[in-house]
Parts: sequence; C-alpha cells; structure tokens
Amino acid sequence: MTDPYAVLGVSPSASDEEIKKAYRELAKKYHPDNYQNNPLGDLAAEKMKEINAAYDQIQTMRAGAKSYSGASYSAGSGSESREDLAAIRAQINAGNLVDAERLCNAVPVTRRNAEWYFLRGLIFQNQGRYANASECYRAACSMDPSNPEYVAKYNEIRTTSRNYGSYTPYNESCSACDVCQGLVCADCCCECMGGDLIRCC
Amino acid sequence: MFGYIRPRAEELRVKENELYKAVYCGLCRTMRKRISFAAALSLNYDYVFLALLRAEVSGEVFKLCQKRCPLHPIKPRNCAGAKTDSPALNFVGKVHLALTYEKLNDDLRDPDTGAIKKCVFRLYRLLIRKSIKKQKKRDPEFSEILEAVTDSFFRLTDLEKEGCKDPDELAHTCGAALERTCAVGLEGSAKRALSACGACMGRLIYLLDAWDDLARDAQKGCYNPYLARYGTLEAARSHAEEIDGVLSLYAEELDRDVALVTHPGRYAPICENIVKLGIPAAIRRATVKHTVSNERESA
Repeated sequence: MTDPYAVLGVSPSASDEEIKKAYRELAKKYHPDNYQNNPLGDLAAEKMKEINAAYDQIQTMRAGAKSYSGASYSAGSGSESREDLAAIRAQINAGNLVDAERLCNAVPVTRRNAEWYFLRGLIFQNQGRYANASECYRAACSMDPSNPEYVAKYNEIRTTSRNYGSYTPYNESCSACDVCQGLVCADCCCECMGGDLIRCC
Repeated sequence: MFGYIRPRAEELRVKENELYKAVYCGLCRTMRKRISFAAALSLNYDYVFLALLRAEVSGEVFKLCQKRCPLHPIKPRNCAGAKTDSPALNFVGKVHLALTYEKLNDDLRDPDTGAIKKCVFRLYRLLIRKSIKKQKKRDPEFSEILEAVTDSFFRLTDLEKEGCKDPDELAHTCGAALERTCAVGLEGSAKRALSACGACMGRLIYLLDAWDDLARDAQKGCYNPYLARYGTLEAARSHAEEIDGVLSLYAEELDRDVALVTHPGRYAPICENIVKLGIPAAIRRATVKHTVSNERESA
C-alpha cells in the first residue's frame, strides 16, 4: 500500500492541523465540480478517492495510536491488525463494500477488536443491514466505551427513531375523563349559585 | 402486507383523504370485478400506497366517479378507476392476489395453525386458487408476479424453519419478493426506483410485523426473528430502543427511495404523509406496546 503521508504530500511528523490543511487543499483541487465537463473527470475522481483514503487512513492510525497507547497489546499483533483495519476503512471510504467485507472476514477471530466491530458495522450499515450494524456498534462500544466515534455511531442508531417522524398530532389532553370532570365542576358552580346542572348529584 | 403503511388521516388535506379513500374503493372494485372476488375480502389499506407509487411512475391520473357497492349500498362513494380501466389498480390487485395465495400457503405449512383455522384457510385457498388459474391463463404478467413472490416465500420459509438468527437476512429476503414484483412491467429508471421502494417496503414490513407480534409469538412458541436472535421475550424487549432505531433506519431508507419516485408528482403529499408520519407512528405503536408492558411487569 502507498504511504498515505506521501499521497497528501506531508511528512509523517506533521501535526493534525497541517494534515487537515493539506487534505482540504487537495480536495478542493480535485473536487468533481471542477471537472464537470472534462473528459478526465474519472481520473480526478480516482485521485479524490486516493486522497480521501489516505486522509482517513492517517486519521485511523492516529486515533488508534491514541486510544491504544495505554492498552497492553503485544506490539507485533497490534500494529498488524491496525494496518489491516486501516485498509478496510480505506475500502469502505472508497465505496468498495465487497472488498471491505472480504478483508473484514479475513481478520481472524482472535484479532477482532472494537475497531473491527465498528468497521463491520459500517459495512453492514452501507449494505442496508441495520439490525446487524447496530449489534456491531454495540459490541464496539462495550469493548471500548471511551471511543467517541463508536459511541456516537451507536447513539445515532438508537436516536434515529426520535429524529425520524418525531411528531405529535396535537394536544390530546382532553379525554373523556376531562369532560366528566368539567361537568362536575360546572354542576358544583351552579349549585353554589342555587341552580343545578346535573340533577342526580 | 399487514396494515402498517397507512397515512395519518388527520394530517391529510380533505381532498387528499377523499382521493386516498377513493383509490381504496377503486382497488376493491377492480379486485372484485376483474381479478378475484375472494381475494378482495382480504384487501387492506397498505396496497393503496403501492397503487399510488405505481400510478406516479407511469404518470397515470386516477379518475373518480360515484359508485355503490355491497358494503355501501345506499350512499354512493367516490371510486377511482371504475369507468376506465386503471393499469395501476389492476397491477396492485394482481400483486395482492399473489401475496394472499402465498400467505395462505405459508399459514397452512405452519404447524402452529389450529385445526379449525386450517379448515377455513383451505376453503379460502380453494377459492383463491380458482382465480389464480383464471388469471394465469389471461395474463402473462401475473405469472411473472406469482413466480417472484413464490420464490422469495419459499426461501423465507426455509430460513424460518432453520431458525435463522439474522433479522436482516430475513428482511432482505422478504424485500426481494416485493422488489421483483414491483418492477414487473416497468423499464429503465422507473423500474429501478420502484423496485428499490418495493425492497425497502418488504424489509420494513417484515421486521415491523415481527416486532409487533413478538409477545404473541413468544406466548404461542412460534418462530420470530427477534426471539431467535435474543432468546427470550424479555431479552428482546431490553433491546427495544435499538430495535426501534433499526426499524426507523429502514423507514428512512424507504423515505429516500419514495422521494425519488414522487418528487414533483401528483400524489406526493399523500405518499409523504404515509412515509414521514404514518410509518413512524406504526413503529412507535409497536415499540410502546413492548416498553409499557415491560414496565408493568417490573412494577
């Protein structure tokens, strides 16, 4: 795989800000809007994909480095699985779900960590298999509850129901009970004034 | 289809509500007159949505006229497609006939169906089978619809028999039935858009029905994808929030696809009402049932 830092044209020691800036500039340059009537539009799209994949890979690598720095992983298997997962994430971002799924399934069960479950969930969600997606996100969250990305995704699914079609017709506070109560009150008032509204009480 | 895909009538404009009811009347009439009297008895409002979408992609405009029928013998009702033949209503009628037949077969294969119920179902199937034979002879399109439905239902029954633990797999299989049926007789982008709508609709209906019937299935010991997945009724109910969210995601997908079909269309307001208000309300009703009874039991 090509070096993602080389694709973005930055040094591996560059700060997050620098990387973001480089990415934005390149993205602007290769944006499909600039190539609308250009026969080379597909090449630009390819470039764009590469840049996106590289950026995401760097993000993943850095996020992984941050969240796993305290974990007691053996160095070898840890970095190996991280590379695998970065490749899967790049495939997902490039829209190659079939390849991403194949890579995902190739990861042995012993090396399936929170990130793996999260990526598997992303693949499921893109395939429109939402029940499995939500289970994967839940697994990722329970393995690594401190990762904001996993938690955000899991909460997103659970709160969809509240965002989608959250609608109350109108104030349905007037029930049959309220009507009776109103009548009894009116009856009391009438009786105070010497009259009667409901004869039997 | 099980009556989940309905509009919120209080949010429809009066003329939209009139049209909605007229399409239902028209559908029932078309079924009775042209397709199958017996199958018309099991018609429900879900099919109106399909008829509206189908009319939308083919640019058909429903023409209304006043008609009496056995259910409304005194006051005539607005009725769509009574004078002129409506292709959309004819198509949906055929889909309903095929689905009813397969649903009956499915219920009869189910070992949990009671003896008396089975007798009634057998009788009903006899009547339906007669119409199916007639329809098959008359219309090659119907054979295509029936084949699509039968294939997917067989696969669905197999999965259920195996005790499949993946709700998505079942939902997608059910979606495939409607995906193929909705596309029959269409071409190009209309075909793509409508089959996508059908697929989403099938998935949502299957899972929503499973979620809605969860308590009953648990009591009777029938197969239910959520029971298979989580083991017990309580375990499934403890994931209510998640299941509700997943159903909403399926509904959102349907919303996106329907928007492509109805975009500047004539029946867009009704379809929008169904997808954006009616379906979420149906999902909420099913979920509330579980959360409320959960609280009652724990109290």
